[in-house]
Amino acid sequence: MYWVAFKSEMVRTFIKAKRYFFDTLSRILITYLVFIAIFYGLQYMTGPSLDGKKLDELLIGYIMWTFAVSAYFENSFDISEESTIGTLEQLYLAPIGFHIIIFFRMISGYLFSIFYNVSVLYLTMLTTGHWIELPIFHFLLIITLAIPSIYGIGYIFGGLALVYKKIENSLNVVQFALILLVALPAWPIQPSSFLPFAAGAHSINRMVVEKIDFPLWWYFFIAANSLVYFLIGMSIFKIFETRAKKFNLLGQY
Amino acid sequence: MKKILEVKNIFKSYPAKPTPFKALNDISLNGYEGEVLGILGPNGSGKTTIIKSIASLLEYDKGQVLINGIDNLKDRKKILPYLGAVLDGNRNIYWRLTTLENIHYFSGLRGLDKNKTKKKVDEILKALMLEEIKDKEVRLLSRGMKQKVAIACSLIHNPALLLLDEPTLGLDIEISRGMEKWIKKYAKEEKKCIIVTSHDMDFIEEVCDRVIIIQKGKIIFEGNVKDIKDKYYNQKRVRITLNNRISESALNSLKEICDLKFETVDNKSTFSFKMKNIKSFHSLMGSINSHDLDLYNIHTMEDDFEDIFMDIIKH
Repeated sequence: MYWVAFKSEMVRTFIKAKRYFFDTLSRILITYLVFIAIFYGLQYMTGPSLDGKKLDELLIGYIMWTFAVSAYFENSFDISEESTIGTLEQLYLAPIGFHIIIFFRMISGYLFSIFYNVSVLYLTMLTTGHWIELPIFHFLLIITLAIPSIYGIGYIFGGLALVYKKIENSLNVVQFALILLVALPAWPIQPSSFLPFAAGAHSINRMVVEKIDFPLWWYFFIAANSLVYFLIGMSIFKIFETRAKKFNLLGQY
Repeated sequence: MKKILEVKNIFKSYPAKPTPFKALNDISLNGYEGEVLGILGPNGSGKTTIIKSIASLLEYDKGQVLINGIDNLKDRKKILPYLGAVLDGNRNIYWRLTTLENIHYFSGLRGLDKNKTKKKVDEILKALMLEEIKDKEVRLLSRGMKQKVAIACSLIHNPALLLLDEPTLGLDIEISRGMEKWIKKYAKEEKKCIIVTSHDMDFIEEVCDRVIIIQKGKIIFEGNVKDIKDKYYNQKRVRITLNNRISESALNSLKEICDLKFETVDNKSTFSFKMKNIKSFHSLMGSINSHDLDLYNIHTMEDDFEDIFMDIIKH
């Protein structure tokens, strides 16, 4: 049952990307333009003595931020949109549970994000001639372990969207908070390592820029951190969901 | 007939000042296989709240709803395979997806694989006459067609209980009549229980085996359409037209005899009233004579279902 539901969600995400072609194209184009702006902007500011490490750090930082933003923003925005277009209650009638549908949406969104971001990153490297050594397996492993913490945040804002419907302003504020999470130093272990996503984002940065090999326990730490935030987020979502059902808010917009 | 739905004494209220607003006040009803049950009531009477409580989209405060004997709040996951619902008409589907894509998406969420539901999908498309528009994006369809697509999506898992909230709202007469036929046929042939809410009295009269009328969250009448007619059709409506405009004093004296509706068109005054008994009719005629009113026409007619409904909720 879950596999079929997941496939359906993937198909829907793909069809949506196809039907909202302009939006999809804009997303790819904007990501590409930002990459290019980072590259040439930094070159313009530093002149011929461009620090390759600094550039890699910025590019990886930006890519981590886009992953984080798409992971939480799409979820919360989707719930708000489903309320508006009137499909939310139908999703609640599916036996697999709405929180699972949301989870599948986040995964399918994540897979599409990987496709968009990694392709745009390679396109930027091709255009600029500046190549980042990206250990793709470890990159995907760490980001896959770390991203559920952002899903946790996505669940919290999804829950808020269920009850309060219009939450775009707070969503925008969180986007800036995510810049902080991506930029914070988190390796070796320190208080900021316990924040959501920070350990994963910083690890990828260090791995690409300084070629650090992390011990196995660090991967477990990232996974555990992620799981805790994911579970907290889902529990809070359930509280909001109960409230929405109690006050008949599911179908309202 | 097998009982599919049992609603037992449900209550629902919302916080309000000075006293909580009672949306549902001790509602009990049953739904059986092969039956279409209509829920009627004025705006805000609690029709949609009942439907949402049955669909477990709303947590009621007290009472119990059983679907195929299973509690819908305690075992929500177990009742959902038996339940289909269209709650927001044409807004219940994705407009950027085609008819088929919508059906496949919602069936997928219920764990039904596209390849295994092909036959069922074809049957539904045929029954609802959606075959020609199966590959069209929903946004390009008429309101009625969108409504049908939403119904198609809710039928794919073959639910024993189908909830339709205002299924004919905003539809033209032709599509509305088509919907009537389909609902009746589907309930009888497939042995399903269908619960509909509607403002369309003709639709309710045509489609429903039984009717529940609710007002202010309380059931004020329950029975079949025939029961209602038998109970309330003993009152004829009489329409009297005069050749001239009635004076204010004459009108007031007629109003003292009975509750009448009055209008003047092209200098001809017309008033209609419910004839409770022949005595009230004689009194009225006497008053018309005493005021020397020039009688043009007397017409008697039976109440239609809408009049009866209005009468029940008024009293």
